[in-house]
Amino acid sequence: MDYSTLSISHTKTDKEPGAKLPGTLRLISRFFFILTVCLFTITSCEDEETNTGSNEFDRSTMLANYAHNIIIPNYATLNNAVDSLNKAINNFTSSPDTVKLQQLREAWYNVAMNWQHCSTFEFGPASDVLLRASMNTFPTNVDQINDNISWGSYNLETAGNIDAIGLPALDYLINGVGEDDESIVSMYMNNDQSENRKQYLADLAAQMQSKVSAVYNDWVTDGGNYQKMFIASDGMDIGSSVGLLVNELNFDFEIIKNAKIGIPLGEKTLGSPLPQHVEAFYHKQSVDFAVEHIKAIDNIFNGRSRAGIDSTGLDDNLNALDAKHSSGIPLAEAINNQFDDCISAVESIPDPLSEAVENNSTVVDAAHTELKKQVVLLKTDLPSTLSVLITYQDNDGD
Amino acid sequence: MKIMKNLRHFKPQSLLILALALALSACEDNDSDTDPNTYTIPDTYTFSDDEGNNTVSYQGQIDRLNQLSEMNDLMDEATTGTIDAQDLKDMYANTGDDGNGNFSFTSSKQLKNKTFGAGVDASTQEMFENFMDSLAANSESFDQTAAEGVAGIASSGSGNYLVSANGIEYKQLIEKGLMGAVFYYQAVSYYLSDAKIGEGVDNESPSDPEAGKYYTAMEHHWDEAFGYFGVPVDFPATLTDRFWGKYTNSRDEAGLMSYDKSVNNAMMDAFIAGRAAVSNDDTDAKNENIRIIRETWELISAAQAIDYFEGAQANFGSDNAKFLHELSEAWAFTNTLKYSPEETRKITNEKVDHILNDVIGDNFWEVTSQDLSDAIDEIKTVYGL
Repeated sequence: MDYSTLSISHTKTDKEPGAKLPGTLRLISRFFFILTVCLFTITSCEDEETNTGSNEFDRSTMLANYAHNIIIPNYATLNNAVDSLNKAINNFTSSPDTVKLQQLREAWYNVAMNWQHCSTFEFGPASDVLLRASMNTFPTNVDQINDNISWGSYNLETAGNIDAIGLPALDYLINGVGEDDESIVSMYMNNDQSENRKQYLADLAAQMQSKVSAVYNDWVTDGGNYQKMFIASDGMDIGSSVGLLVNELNFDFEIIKNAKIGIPLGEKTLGSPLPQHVEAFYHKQSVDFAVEHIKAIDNIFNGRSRAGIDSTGLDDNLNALDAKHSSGIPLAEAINNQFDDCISAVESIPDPLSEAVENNSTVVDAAHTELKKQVVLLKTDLPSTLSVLITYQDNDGD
Repeated sequence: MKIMKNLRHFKPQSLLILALALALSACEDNDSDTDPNTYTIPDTYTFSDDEGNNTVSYQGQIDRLNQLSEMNDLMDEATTGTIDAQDLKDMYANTGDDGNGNFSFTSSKQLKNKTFGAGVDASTQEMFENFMDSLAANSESFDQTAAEGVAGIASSGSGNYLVSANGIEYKQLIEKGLMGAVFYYQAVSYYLSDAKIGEGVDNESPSDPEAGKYYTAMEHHWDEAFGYFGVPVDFPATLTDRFWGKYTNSRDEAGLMSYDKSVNNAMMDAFIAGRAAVSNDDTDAKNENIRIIRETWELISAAQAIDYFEGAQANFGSDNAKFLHELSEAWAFTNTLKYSPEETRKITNEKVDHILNDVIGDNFWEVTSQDLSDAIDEIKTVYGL
């Protein structure tokens, strides 16, 4: 039973035609509306049992698939990529040149792409070390970074440094400190702060390594074995694993909609674009990362590993409950169709996104619209079907 | 009631309740809620629920209006002595809940985190803080007479205005600027936006009856927009001498009309009728009144800008103090137009920037009468005034 769909269909039936149709037609439309609502009410009473007694669908099987085939392998890959990044940074700082700079960039890119596949899992071990905020808070704060470098003394764990660390800070340091490769390299050789800058680069990578390896080790059986608890917590309450996963999947998807696309487009500034707010502003391949991120969440929804092996996931849970979209097709199919639409809409944005939000805003806006549609499905239809509560709040004030 | 209180945090459950409530009410008395003819629109901005509990609340807005009033008092002191920019910044950010001792009252609310761009783009907040630095720096010259290139006091009769070396009265840029970037922006572009007042916002369950919050989220958002308008509940029978209520009445007296009403009534009637529409689930009337408020408010700011440009022009060459003062006012009311919602705005940001930067520029002593005419003509053309 999909309650949100019910309320949406009510609104449309009641308010749109009802307001326009005169006399008899309006009465008839109201009659059908009443009938529909009453039918829904009755079915909702009947459906209660199937909904609560989801014995036929084994959530622990699904959770085991998430832990063993998606979350742990994704962290393992990320962990390796961060290792390589550290090596590339050591290699670069020991004797900087443009070839090593390019190798360092490739290592950074590899971490950034792998990060898209881990960003969703901000619960348990990751949330203990604030992994998401530490890895990818953007836009990065160039003034803060440069202050830290010139002081040569800093605590990278403070709240005040959260926008001076992680991938965005590294992006600035390897892509944004000079006009071209030679001038960037010279900032690590012939500059009065070269040593401090090299140290900062190394400290950022070391911090990343310590956090990622801690999270990875917390998940695996010969470490913290968080997976055991994750798989066992197969209920539906707020702290259950499905609850955590659905909440964070939504939170993460909204990062794409808001931080990656909406805010640069001017969503929060009455349409005035904020080009510097894109992900990977200096690297300039923001669209690639956004597409990879959507694909990652698409995989997660479908219980599909990065190698493409499709096993039990949230989509199967929806299908087991026979969840339907208001259009009549299965809800899981509607969500998958919308993932496809999101991917193709975002893919059609030309990089750099920072220029597209100003010169090609129609295309960016179209992508934003597709992402918004998916938020409705993921944040309303999906959780209500699974009896999961979205517990994070949009920032509000009064 | 405890269950209700807890449930309101959780969307799926709320939706369930909502759906059932709708289903039940639909079966019983489907007509009563949606027919605009069956609910009463009160004469004043007073609303209560079926049990007679007051549902109107906007203390946060009252606090912010009072904060800006007290900032004004401090800025006035800059005409007779030096002031510290940090005091203004502490008030702007409401440091320590009492503006670091500068406010006469405590509140958890602040102006800074409600300024356009807050949390996303700090450039507008920085603009105001730079204005505060400029005002404080100018206050060092409180004992000098202003002239081109010399900061100091420009006097006209009993009026004393502290202006910069470039003739800019920063007090006006700050006060009227924040009226735009906080009050106007928050009301028309935030609280009356789809995200805060549209279909996805809860309009069924009272927020927290145990704590005296008998309003729904949607009702509250509407009230908060009204709170930023800042007028008495029986406006215009009772007037106000500050902020948007003052300038709305000023334009009303000058004969400004919107939607076939004088602007006092256009604004107040729309706020009251729209709130009644929200409480009675009359979406069409709600949306119509949102449009009236947004378009009328933008028109008021545009007309007020024109009025000040015209005032500056009338004093051009004869009363420099008033010329600079009115030009500073005009600058801020023009700048306010930038914070208009995309759906209804008449003027582009490019046009506003063009008027402020190209036509007027950053040295008010160098503005010519022709520049003022150009600014007036450009705004009049956009608004059909």
